[in-house]
Amino acid sequence: MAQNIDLAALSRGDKATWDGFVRRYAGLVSAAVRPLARDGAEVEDLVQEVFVRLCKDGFRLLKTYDPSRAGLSTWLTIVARSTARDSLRRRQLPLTPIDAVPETALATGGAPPEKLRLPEGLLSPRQKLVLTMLYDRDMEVAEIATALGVDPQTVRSTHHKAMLKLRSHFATEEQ
Amino acid sequence: MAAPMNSPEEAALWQRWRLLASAPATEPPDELTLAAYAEGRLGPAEMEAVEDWLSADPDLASDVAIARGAALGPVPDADARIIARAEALVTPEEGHVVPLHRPSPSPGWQGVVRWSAMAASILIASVVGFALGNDAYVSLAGYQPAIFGQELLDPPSGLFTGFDEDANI
Repeated sequence: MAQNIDLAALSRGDKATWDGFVRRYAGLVSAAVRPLARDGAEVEDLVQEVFVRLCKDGFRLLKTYDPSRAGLSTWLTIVARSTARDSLRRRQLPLTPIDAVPETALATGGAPPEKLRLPEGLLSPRQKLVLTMLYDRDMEVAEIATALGVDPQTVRSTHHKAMLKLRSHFATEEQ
Repeated sequence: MAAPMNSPEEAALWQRWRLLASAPATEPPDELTLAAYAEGRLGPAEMEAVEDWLSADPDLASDVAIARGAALGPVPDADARIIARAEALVTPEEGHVVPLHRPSPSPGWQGVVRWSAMAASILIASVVGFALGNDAYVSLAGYQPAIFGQELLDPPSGLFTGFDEDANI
């Protein structure tokens, strides 16, 4: 995708370049933050926070972008998502001070913590990632395949091998 | 027949692993590295380090998945109000022109007023200070000079009574 944005002029704060950049990428930023927002008003605020982050401190964040490492759309999407998430975390309800919580509410019942240790490298990073996307994010195989840039059969195979390792490890520990 | 993916038994195995696994030892990847990973531009070692972090932080994994989709698809349009708000962040003067204030060659009437006010303040403080000191002097000595400042020239004879060396021998 041709970018046609003069990054040097943008980092200098050229008004015309900035306006062109906003018109071109505001839609992408909106689409990136929309799943995290409650409503349209929050989408607007989150998009604005993203652009504020891009231009503040003399366009410091924009100056870190290196087109030789990744495309601008991809980088902006990552920046938008992380900015939105940080912003939403800051807006969460204030935490209750621990002294205000009765001790009974802090007690942890149930079984004592498991004393098993995981051997180093039991699962490869790729295997861990597939399991994270499948079980923690409830993503479909096709979605995971797209996210990782592999075919769905590779995802299934990776999952299968990871499960074999986990079953074998925990079965051994329990003997 | 292979067991279906995402079965309760397998989910439980994964959660058990999750409880025991520790966070990755390396620094979390920055946004540019994540973007490079999403585009498949990282080498094997860098890729593994990023995947280690992605598996520890499901939010990051979602970000990467969405970014990969964004790179492939068309750029959507945005609301006009969103665009206007963001455009307003940068003004035409943002070209970082720093205005230089050249010092004026002569003080002008403002300088005269300023210095006059300062001189008057010093004079008033001196007079008030002298008057206060004079009042204290008079109350200690029990002496009221006939003219202002006379005690400086002709101190009262009773001022130093009681200080005679031989008075109490």
